[in-house]
Amino acid sequence: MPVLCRTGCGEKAVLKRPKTGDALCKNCFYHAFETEIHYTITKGELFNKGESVAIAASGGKDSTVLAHVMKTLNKRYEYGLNLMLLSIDEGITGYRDDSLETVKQNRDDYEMPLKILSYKDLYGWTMDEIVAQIGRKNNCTFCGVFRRQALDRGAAMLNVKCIATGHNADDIAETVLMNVLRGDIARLKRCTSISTGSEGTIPRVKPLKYTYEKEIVMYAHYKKLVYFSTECVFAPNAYRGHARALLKDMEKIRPSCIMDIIYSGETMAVKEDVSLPTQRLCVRCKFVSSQEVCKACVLLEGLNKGLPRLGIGKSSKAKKMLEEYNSKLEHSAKERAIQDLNDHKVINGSDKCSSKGKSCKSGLCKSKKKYTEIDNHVNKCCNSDCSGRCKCNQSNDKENEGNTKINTLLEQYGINESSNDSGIDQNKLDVPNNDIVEDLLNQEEDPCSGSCGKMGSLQIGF
Amino acid sequence: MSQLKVILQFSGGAELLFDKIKKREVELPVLEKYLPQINKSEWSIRELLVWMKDNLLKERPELFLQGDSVRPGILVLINDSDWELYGELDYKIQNGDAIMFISTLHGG
Amino acid sequence: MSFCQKCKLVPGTILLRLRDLYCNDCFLTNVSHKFRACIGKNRILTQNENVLICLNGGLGSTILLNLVLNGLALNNHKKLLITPVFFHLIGTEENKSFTKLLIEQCMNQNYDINLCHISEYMIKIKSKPKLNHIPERNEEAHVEMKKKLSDMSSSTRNDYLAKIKRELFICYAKELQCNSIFTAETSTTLAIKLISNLSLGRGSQVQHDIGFCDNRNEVKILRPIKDITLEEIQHYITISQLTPLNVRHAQEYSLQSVAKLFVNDLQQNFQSTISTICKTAEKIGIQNENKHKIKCLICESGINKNQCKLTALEATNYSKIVSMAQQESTSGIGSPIEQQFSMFPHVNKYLCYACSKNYSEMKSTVPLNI
Repeated sequence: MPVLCRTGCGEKAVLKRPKTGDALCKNCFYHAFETEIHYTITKGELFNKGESVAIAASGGKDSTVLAHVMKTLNKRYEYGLNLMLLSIDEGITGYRDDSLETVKQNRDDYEMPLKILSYKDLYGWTMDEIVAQIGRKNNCTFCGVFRRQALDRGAAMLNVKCIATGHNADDIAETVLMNVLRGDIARLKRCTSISTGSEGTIPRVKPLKYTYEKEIVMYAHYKKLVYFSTECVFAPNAYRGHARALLKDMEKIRPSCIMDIIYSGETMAVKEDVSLPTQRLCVRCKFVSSQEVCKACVLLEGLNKGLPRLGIGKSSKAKKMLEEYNSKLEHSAKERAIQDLNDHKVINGSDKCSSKGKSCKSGLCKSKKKYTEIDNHVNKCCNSDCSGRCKCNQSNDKENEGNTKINTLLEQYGINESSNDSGIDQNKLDVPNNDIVEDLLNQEEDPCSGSCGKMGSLQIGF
Repeated sequence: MSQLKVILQFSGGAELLFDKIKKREVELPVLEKYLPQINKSEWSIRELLVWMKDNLLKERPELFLQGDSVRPGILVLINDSDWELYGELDYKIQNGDAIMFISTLHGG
Repeated sequence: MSFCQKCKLVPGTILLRLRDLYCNDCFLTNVSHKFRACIGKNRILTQNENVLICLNGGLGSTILLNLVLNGLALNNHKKLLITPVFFHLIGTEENKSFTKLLIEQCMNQNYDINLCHISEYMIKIKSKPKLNHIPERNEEAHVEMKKKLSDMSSSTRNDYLAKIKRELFICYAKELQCNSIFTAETSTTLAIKLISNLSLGRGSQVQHDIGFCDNRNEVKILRPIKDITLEEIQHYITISQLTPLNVRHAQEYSLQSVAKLFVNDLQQNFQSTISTICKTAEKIGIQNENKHKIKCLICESGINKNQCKLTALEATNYSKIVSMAQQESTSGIGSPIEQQFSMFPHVNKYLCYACSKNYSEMKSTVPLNI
């Protein structure tokens, strides 16, 4: 005896909705599924008419369904949005190259322009290259941190008003649990908001915030949407998996608990006397950061210096690493100085890079070479105790004014970073509990800690 | 005893656990012979999972099974409908049924 | 041989969290210090006030009792300055021999214990607690209570029972002239409770449910052993040769049982799990604390209306609407139909989100005094 659709339409039901327990037929399910997302979009005031919106597309189920539904709703309800797809190519052979094919399929199916940005272009390194440097243990840190920023960069290039990500209800509930386990109160507070982004940044919105993963998969299945589903080759069994396993076990007992966890997060407040790190712009790359210099810049610096573990784990370790590195450099300081001068000549010629008309002072654009140059300069200054105000490299100073500023900051940062751990930061600011973070690092870094940009945010896998 | 043929399908990443084969037709043996200890003559999903574990799933069964059911996060469709509407593990398998396993646990 | 890391004089005998080594004396001092520090630094108690001390004979309860008695027995400036009133709530499934053991245990240590049946919850005018004797049970209330609990899912039942107990503790505290209550919740139980409560939608109530002090009522509920872990309690009990009773927890498959299993498993692999969870809980507060005019009739939590234009509550209700009505009738958003199909009876009016959800599971008539 088949179960009939709850709406009374007379059709045979095909699925039981986890959120409400109702059984629906295929058509009523499509309607309910899409209408709910429309409700989330309008009630949550996610978009304004006429805006350009980038859909973060990974080729996975969530972003594929998001693109499909956005296309449908934009037409049905006349949002008047200018939709486009934005993909990040981390440079992971056998994973991303395949999923990008799916994204290209999305582009053709939904007739949306597609922009693919690669880590190689943005940072000078592919994930494959990074893994070759760092090994498989902490590579997810790089991938997650770089991806988050890559989306911002891509959105700026596309000149869009906001980025829509495919985070679904399960992802958000899981992130709530994970942030409790990690003791990350700042992210715990942020992770359930439907729209994030501070002033001066491009907001991210989550139209699928209240949509269950089960329904996304069923929708994609019945609609025969093609999506890509292979686990990232580098991230089996990441820590997020613990939270995911817990959530799935709980969902089995009471499917509505996913909504209940989201509700918990939404109505939760942080005590007034707990100070949270404020979001600001990274002094180097000008993208959002909670530190003076963003994590992406620190990690990149480590890579370019040949200290790939810089920025992973406790900052005291980073300090030690830097010290060792500097003392090594002392020996060859002279040769380096000469080398520097040569480098300057070469690089300063093509120093200014531009992104969408704005000149980029970040020193992050493209050239790995320039990095080495900055770093060497800083180190030399450190070693000769001239505290950054020295006029070494006189001949290049004029052209290099912007960089000197950065150099000074960088140098300060080298010191700042190490002093971060000494008391103040640990107690007043809310950084994740170091013990557990250490524990986690020993096991496996969480790939996309908390509020990552979703694209290919790979949860637990097989 | 009539024969019992079923179509097993895997997607969403679940196929990775089954030699990347997305669709296969299998014939189930007589249940009394295959699992004499349970004293049942009709195959349900519960027994099918045991059979799959023994015959198809050679490596890391914990990625597909948990307890006597599928791992939470793997959706089961019986003839293209949610198994939750058909009694889940207790559904009595009919000849020619198509049973599909879709993983939601893979990246997106 | 390794020495106690605290006094460095005697060999260590107790290894905590797989790394911290203590001798028996230092360990006991440390546990007792945690208890006293917890009460002391919060400065909530006034001198010699009556405190209702809730016991159930279990591990946490045994330790709490021991710490209180030790504190009272001191003859110096550190003497614990409270007047304890011991109390036990008899559950619907508790068998008489267990209750008798508990009473015996108390009498052996020369103090009195007040007893009451949990089914008194069903009765408006509750009978007074009995001292050192099992009070007579109101059979009608008992049956009604059992029926009501058996109608619920196990997760709801666990949550609802916790709320009932809370209400009764407060009720009997008033009866026995106590302004404060001690419960025996440990950091392990509280970490589990945090995860469970989040999964029940009680995120906004964390400060009261997990923190040191629940002051939703004028009678305050305090958790003086909230910084002591189950691991420490087990050592403490062994060293002090205490004899906890074997409290049977009905371990049905529920959100709470899954949370418990999860926390305990993770703690095995990551020794800082529980402390991290508890530290997180301490940072969670209450939204617009002073603005709550309405309180939930069941759990007394503040209800904060319309703080957010869209929450999981509205989303779930909308989901219900589109799942029940045919397509053309659901075109308008925010239509009156929304009220009719609400998954959350009385929500934000008389009940909080989670209690409303529990309420929707109750089949029989419920004494919700609206």
